[in-house]
Amino acid sequence: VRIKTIELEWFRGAADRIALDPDCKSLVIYGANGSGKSSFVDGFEYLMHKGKIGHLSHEYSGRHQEKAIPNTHKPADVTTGVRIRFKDDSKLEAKINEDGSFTTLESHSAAVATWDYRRTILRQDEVSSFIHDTKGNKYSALLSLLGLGRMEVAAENLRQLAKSIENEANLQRKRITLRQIAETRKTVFGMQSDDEIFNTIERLHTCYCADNPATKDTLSRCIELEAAVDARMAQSSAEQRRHFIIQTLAELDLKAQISAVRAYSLRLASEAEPLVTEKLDVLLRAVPFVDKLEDTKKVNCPACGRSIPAAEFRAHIAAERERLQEIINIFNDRKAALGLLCNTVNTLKNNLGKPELKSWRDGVAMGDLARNLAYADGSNAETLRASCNEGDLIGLEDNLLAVVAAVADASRDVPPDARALSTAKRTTEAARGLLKANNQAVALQQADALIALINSLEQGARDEIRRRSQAVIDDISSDIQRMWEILHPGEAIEGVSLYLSGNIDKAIDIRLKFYGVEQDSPRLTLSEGYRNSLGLCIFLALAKQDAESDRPLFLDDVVVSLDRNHRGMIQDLLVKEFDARQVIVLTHDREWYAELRQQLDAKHWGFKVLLPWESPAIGIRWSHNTTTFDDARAHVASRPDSAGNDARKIMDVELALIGERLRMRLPYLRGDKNDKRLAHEFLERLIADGKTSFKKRKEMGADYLEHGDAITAWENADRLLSSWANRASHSFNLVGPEAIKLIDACESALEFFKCSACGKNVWFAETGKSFQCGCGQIRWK
Amino acid sequence: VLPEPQNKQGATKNDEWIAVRIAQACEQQLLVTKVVSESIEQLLTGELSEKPASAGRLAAIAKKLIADMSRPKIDTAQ
Repeated sequence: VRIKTIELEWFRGAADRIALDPDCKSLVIYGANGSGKSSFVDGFEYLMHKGKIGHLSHEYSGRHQEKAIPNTHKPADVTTGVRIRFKDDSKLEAKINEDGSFTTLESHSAAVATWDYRRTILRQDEVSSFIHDTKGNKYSALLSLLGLGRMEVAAENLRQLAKSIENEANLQRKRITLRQIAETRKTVFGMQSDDEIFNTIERLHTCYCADNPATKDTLSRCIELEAAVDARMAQSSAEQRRHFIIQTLAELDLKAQISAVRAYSLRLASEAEPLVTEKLDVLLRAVPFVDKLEDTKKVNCPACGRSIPAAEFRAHIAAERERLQEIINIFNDRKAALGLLCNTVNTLKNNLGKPELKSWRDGVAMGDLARNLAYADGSNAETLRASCNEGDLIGLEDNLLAVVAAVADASRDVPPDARALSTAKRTTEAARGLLKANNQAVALQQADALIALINSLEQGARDEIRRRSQAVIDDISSDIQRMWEILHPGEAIEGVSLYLSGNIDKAIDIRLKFYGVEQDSPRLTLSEGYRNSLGLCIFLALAKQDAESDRPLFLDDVVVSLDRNHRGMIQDLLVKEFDARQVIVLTHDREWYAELRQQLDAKHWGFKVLLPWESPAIGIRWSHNTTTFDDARAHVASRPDSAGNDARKIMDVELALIGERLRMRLPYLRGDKNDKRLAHEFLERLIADGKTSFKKRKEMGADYLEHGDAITAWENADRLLSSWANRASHSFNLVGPEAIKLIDACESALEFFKCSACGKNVWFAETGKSFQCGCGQIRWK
Repeated sequence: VLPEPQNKQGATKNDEWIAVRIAQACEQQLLVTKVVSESIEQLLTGELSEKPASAGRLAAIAKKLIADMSRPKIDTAQ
């Protein structure tokens, strides 16, 4: 994907339509601060993010950024808009309304909206943002590169599915029911084994269901037995039925059940209350430390202040989770015990209300039990189940234990046959519950197995994500390291790489070796300039992952904090690693721009200069030149001395670069002066050497002549620089016409290095000991 | 849904891990039936990897899997 043009109209710094037209090549744009360079990047981001520009997202820009995006002086009858044309002539365009809403017109093959900003645009203030970001955000920045979107979705769906299975299978309720059945078994059958219990059922079945000897399976036996016992009870006399009821009530283990509920309540109170207090305290203290876990491998204990390895901290959290699970188990035990107690209270109330017991009740109600029986009649098991406190348990003890004791007293008169029938019924019910519990236990095991499988698959997905992440991260790390070595050859900072951080999911960080010592973060040792340099390598390494998609890159003023040596390596990096990609470089660094213009191959790179910005109504303007002399011209009217000074500085830079390309030999100067030559020194040498070295081909034929025009232009520039530019620098005494003449002379002096026929510089091609332009029209020997 | 980005290594080969992990997990969970493991594999190579499932959809999947777990275990994975 290549950009042919980006057009802006009353968009940000632009006024009337202005186009950035790289024409599918890479491009270096120079512009002084505020000249409007970034408006083009903003335009691209606006279309990429469907109407939003990240650095304008603040409270003052308006809901649709309508206060920040249009030119502040946009006339009412014009439209704000941005348009991109691509290599295949497809286009993407937005017309922005007054309220910031916009309409897009698109016929573009490149799905720009799907591009990742963090691999497309790097701005000055974002260069080191990756390094400073949290581990989680670093991971997010890489996520789409890892190609693990499906697996992330799968892992999260599996986690939620396990929860759904837990809910749908009613596992909590099943666990409580099983606990209740286990308690009943203990009460009715004591320590009997399953076989012993089934033998008891078989014996009772033989006794009460002699007509059905063929029934073999225990559940059917239980059902038949229950029906037979009920039938016998129904056929019995009222007196016998009273005995059955009294026997049933006498067997209720109310005291033990109240004790069980109380014991679990006490255990809960002793476990839960201090735990909750402690948790609250720890949570409050731990909040400030949570972030530190992201950045360091150790945390300071909120309680004692000691440094604790993060692994220990995690182990502690795991232990706390187990402890909480234990408390949940106690809750379940208490619920089960309370369920049994409520069932007993219900049984007591229902049976006491039966007409068969009326005569017994009338007898005992004459005494102290009247109040207790009234309490039993008024009891509500469901209310008790919902909320049972110590007061309720004391009420049950004070009132119902006396009733149960009276019933137990009366049960001594129950005849043996009625007692046996009652016991048979109780045994059968308990055995049937047991069989039901077996089924529930199987369902529980199945659900647990299913959840374990789902959890295992979730873990599998996460392991796989980690494994694949590591492979991609290793690949990116290798790119980062290679790019770092280009920018910092021979420096003792090596092994720069990304790594998945410890046991934390979705966390990535950067490590390196600083003079042989492993560092867990660049922030520990690297200066701001080095961090920016590393940030640039990371951005480019991430962007390189998109090599197949061949998307353009924007580097907006990213070399601000790099020194000359490291900045100078960036063009090497761009040529070696991004020769096949379209790169749009924007800079306000005149010296660097001049270097790039001299060193990058004009076949793949274009160069453009923005004029200094004057007013909203004039907007962004291109210079007609690719040199930066228009910067100087912009000052002529207001500060001619400054314009003259600018011209001298431009010549210092440009001639130093030309001198380097032509391998000019200058006498060695001691100290810094050797690296800080002035334009006059280069011009002096150029004039002296040029008379014999700089030749121009005759119009007809192959012979070369001295390039007299160039020598004259250089002499003129040197003379004016010596007289006027120095005056501009030192005495600020330069007038406008002088400044214009100086600038024109300097610009003219440089133009002779470029061939008027082929447009290439004289150092374009090297043949033996000489250089020449593309067509051989000019030559330096 | 945006197209799955491809990394430098080429195809993402997203789903190869599923069958392997299911087989490994089933070795540990002997109660899991073949029909359940096949359902999960199908879900994971399909809708469960495509987008976050709604609570209602997950509940429906859970119900079906629970029901499949309680089928007679003549078709155990092992």
